[in-house]
Amino acid sequence: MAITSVGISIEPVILSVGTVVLLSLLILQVPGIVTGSRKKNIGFRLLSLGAVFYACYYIYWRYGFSLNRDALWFALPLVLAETYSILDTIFFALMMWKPAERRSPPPLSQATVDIFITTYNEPAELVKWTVEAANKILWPNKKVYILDDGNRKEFFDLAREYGCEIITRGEEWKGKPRHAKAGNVNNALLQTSGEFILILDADHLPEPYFIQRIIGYFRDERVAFVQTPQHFYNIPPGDPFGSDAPLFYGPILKGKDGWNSAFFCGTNAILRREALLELGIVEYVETSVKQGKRGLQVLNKWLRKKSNWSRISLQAYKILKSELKAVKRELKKGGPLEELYGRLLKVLKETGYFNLLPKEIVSAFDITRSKEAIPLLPISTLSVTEDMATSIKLHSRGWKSVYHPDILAQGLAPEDLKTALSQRLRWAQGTIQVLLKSNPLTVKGLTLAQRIQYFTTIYSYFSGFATLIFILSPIIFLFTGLAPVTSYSGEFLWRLIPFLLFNRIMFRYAARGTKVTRGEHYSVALFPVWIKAVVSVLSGRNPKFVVTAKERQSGRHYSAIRVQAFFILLSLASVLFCLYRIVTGGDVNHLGAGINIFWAGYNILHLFTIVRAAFYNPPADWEKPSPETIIRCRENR
Amino acid sequence: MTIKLDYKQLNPHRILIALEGRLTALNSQALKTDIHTLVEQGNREIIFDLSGVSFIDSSGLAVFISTLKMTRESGGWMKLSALPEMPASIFKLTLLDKVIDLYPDVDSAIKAVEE
Repeated sequence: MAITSVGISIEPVILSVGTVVLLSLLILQVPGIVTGSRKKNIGFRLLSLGAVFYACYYIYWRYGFSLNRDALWFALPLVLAETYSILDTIFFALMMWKPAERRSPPPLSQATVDIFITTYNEPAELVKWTVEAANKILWPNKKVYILDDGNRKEFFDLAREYGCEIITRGEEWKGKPRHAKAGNVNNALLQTSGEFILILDADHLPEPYFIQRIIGYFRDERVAFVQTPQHFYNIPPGDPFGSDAPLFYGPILKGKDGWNSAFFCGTNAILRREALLELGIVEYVETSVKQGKRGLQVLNKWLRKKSNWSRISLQAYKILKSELKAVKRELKKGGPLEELYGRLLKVLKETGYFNLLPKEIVSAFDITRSKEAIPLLPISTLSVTEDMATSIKLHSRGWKSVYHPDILAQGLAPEDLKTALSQRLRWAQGTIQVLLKSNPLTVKGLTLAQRIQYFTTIYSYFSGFATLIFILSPIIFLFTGLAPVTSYSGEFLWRLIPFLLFNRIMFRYAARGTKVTRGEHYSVALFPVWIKAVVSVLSGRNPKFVVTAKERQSGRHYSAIRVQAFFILLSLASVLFCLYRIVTGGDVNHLGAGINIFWAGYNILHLFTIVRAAFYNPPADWEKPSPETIIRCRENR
Repeated sequence: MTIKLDYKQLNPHRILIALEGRLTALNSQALKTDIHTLVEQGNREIIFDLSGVSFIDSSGLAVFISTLKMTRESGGWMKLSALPEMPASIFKLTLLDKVIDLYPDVDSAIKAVEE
């Protein structure tokens, strides 16, 4: 079913143009295609245009001409999964269109910086090295604080020994929601005074020049935070658990930075106090208004209920109704809540309603946030990934962000598969929570580019469903001979291959200089984790913040790889079954079999990464560097 | 950079606090501690005279919100009055003027609470 123009088939033309462009890029030796920082991205833009063009060309053909209508139950999910991937390609191309290239500006010499080291259950023996490294930061106006959420005695001793401050939760937190790490930081924010805050996880050892390198970005008074990469010093050879994220902390964040959409990642970042507190105050106001409006609605509903009528006099009812009307009117005009709610509560008391009403109605008119320990929550408590939710809010208030790509701190990555997977699950769940509670597509104040960038990140966590379909498709074909396309032919290949080639080369070009293979394998192999995250959050189960273990958890973690092992075996069985049918002269479409065996092999290769990780033991001659080694090495530089 | 705090006892539970200077992150913690000490001493009703304040940042606003919470939880209240135009802009920017009453002068604040 060829598309023709004046009777000439244009497919070979498109194919040959694609081939020529690809060959020319290869001849020019990607990535050295064009030098010069601004022009550098021309190579990526050409490749991305090619990838998007061929992606559209392919999917148009898939929907219009190649769906196997006799097996729509199979064909439709596959084409939807392909559509997901194509949108992913388009989002990736947009993200990488104009990456920011940053160079440290001259430092802001007078800036005062509070260094927050957040800890909950990490041992003092580990945290002391972070404190030592923080003390060694070369900056005159700094104060180091240990934020110990565990309120442990040994941390008070540690603070004394290293001459730094310690902040723990006070009495006001008793019986109130603690909000995990976000609550810990918010608690300290309201007790300290530095203009800027450097946030470090308990295990992240900052470089002595951390502040010097990035404080200068705050010369621009609208910059709210500067994020730097997370880098780990304990990754064993080969990075078996895919902890290193050079693609994310390289091209992806640089790309997002180009659109003023870099995220705050929870650690290794400096934030402007003014921006955070402004956010906290605006959130306080919005919550008070929202809560009060909701309270008025519920109060009205309560008053309408016949069963409540007998409990109060008609006169009291009339007084309250007229006061309610007045309050609503004034609320619309923006009258101060303190006065309006005060008036309303006074009338409720005078009419005798106060003691009859359910507590939640009365507490809706409380502007002191008595349910919370502290009135301001600048670091968002909406999601277990408090960092992303906070970034969205800052951007929506018109603040700017910067991603500085130099490694300025080194920390600990999970040392076993189980811990690594639970960390990824929490990230994924938190990101999906952000979609539900602070949807970047609808939050007021974001630019279109920022909406797309945040959505791209959230969208990527839905990939588990597409991956499952991609894994199942070759298995179904190889076992049954049933094809999701009308035919496996040259037509199919010459549309698919240029798209795949362009896509791969675009991706590799964007990631130039970084090792991304392990990360790619994990993004496929973790499909059960991504699916679990989406399903658990969408079904209303609230994930809990879990501190990532800093030591290797003993035992083998086979249960974590059951699903992947099952699909590896199933894929292998389907390949062997199909080969058997070919050898025994069965009715098999050879091109279809070849294509599907290729995909089954591709899937097995990716899934196998995680199986290997479950059996992983560090080499006997590999010695994990200690935090002390890292600090002493720096001294000897 | 300091902010000057003066207070006058209006009755056993009520004080008028007059602030003077720039209220910023650099001095807001010290001010918060001073005010909280006053509340802990039984002064649960506070009227602020802000006529001498030339600048307030978000950390300064946080002091008022904390004080509001503390006084209310002690069974009292907090009123802000006589805020000059310049620092009043931060109340508008953060929409805090939608929550907290701002009285034009000390007398109107006193009158309001006595009513």
